[in-house]
Amino acid sequence: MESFDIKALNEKIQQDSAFLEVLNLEIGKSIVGQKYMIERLMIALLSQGHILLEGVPGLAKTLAIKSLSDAIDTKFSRIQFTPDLLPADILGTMIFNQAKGNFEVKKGPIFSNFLLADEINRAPAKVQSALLQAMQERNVTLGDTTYKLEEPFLVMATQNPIEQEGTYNLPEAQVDRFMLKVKISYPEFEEERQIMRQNVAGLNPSVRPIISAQTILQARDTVRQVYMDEKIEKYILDIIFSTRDPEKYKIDTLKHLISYGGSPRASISLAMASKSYAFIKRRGYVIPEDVRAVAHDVLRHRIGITYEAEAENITQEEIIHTILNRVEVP
Amino acid sequence: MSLARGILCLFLLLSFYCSEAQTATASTKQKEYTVGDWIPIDLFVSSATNNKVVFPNLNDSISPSIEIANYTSIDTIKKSGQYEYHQLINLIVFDTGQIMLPQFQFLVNNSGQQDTIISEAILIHVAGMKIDTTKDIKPIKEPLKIPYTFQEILPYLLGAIILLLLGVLIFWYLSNHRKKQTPIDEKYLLPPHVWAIKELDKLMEEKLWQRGEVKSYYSKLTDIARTYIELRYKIPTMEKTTDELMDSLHRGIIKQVFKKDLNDLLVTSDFVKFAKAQPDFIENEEAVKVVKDFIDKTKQIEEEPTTTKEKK
Repeated sequence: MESFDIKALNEKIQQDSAFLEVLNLEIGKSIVGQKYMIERLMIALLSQGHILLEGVPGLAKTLAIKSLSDAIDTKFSRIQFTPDLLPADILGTMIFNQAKGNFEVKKGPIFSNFLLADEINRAPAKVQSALLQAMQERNVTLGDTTYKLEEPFLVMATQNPIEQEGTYNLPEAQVDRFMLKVKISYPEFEEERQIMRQNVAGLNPSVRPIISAQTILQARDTVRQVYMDEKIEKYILDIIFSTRDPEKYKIDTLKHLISYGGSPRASISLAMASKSYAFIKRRGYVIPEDVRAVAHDVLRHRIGITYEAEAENITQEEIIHTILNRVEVP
Repeated sequence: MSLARGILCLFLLLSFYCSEAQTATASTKQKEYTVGDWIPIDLFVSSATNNKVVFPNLNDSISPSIEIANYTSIDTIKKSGQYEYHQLINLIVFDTGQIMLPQFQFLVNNSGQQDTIISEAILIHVAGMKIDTTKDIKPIKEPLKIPYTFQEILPYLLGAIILLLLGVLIFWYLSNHRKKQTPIDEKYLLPPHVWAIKELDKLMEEKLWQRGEVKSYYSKLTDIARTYIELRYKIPTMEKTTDELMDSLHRGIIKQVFKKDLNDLLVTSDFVKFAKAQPDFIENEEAVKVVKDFIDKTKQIEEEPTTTKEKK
């Protein structure tokens, strides 16, 4: 069997993705399990996206991004979102310097490579907007000057699905800016045993910087080169369009359950995430399995459900599951 | 002088008599009738032109034994400065013997003066039916069948035409609708393996990979294989990835040895479809054989003859 440019691309991907194994080993020193979350973090990082994590406290969300940041030799910031937080607390502000008699820029925690926005839904809409705008535009304006954020730039926001009191839900338009929304579950039995033993024994292995930010940027370029056949493009579009017009895809049962479907940003995110997933799997081309692997995380926060769906206890998960089982695979 | 006066008086009397003369008669053509016959009566009134004559008001019957069958409208003729009025009445008498037809009363309005003229009564003889007592008693005759008129038939005729038109319209609609319905796909009519082999033969005839359309060739080939599995094992296959499809063909469904070659083929097809892979011609030729072999090993064997033998 012969394949021309794909063969070369596959070789390039084998080379450029070699760091993933080392990175996983390094992160694995401090985090037990949660492979799914780390894989999704990598997808977001390689696709130039951001990630929203939903899970109960204590699932190593913070530790995961801290470890990733430490392993990649980048700057890491954490912001605990509270109701009294102000946009300037994230972006920074201009402070008057009495000695010099002028205003000086005081950059906020957003000026880092990895930003953990913990419990993002505890801050009011203006703070959320400030962060999400910076996420989208990848620059921040302070005073008269616009500062470009340093790449790689990844925001990992967390939400607690249990507590709803005193929270400000992210509006649909803003949540759409997160490439992935990942639901974190509890570790497996054996994993938790290992976590327990490590902590009881006081073992806190430190993660060393083993790869540079440049490696990530180079990997991003390679990800963009991953071959996506037009059949896969059609498959992605079929999935997205079926969320908007399920009747057209003979999924009439979903018509009254979906209030709005995925935006064009969903198509872009699904395509990019699929490419990144193929890269992680060391492939130079995307297959339908890649699309299906990331579809839930890309779509779950982009599909609006109706009151009927809520009344029938039907979630976005079930809707996506139905769509994936009904849309023809190329 | 006295003679002249007498003649003048006579002339005046006559002229007065003539100018004011009004007579009314009721007459029949004959005097003998059989019971049940129509008895035509001619009512006649002669009156001055400036008088208004009112004929008797006719009902269904004149007396319990005399009924009015029908009557004509009043016919008026101007004759010698007089008006002559005619009306023909057909009576039926249901009695036998000497029957006295009654008098008819006419009202004449003469310049505001109301006069009543009465016709004379008519005596007729109504004979009963002659019965031949020497013969047997015959049964009562059935009612006479009167032929239907066009007016009577018309509503039924219109109804029938409308029904016929409706029938034609329904037939036209149904036949047209049937034509529009998509015909049942052959794959649902034939046994899965027969359909699949037929499709594979068609695919080979198309010579797609020989013309450089390798991707199209593998797409069609895997579609046939997937459809065969779907029809044969009732598993939805078109919405599954290669891995999912292989997982669904678990031990309970198929012997695992049959799966290997098919799995390899599907993986190769994925390479061709999604990674621009170009298998060599041996692989291309072998691909159809793999599917045919899989179909041959897994086809549903007709059970009918075996069952019959077993029963025997």
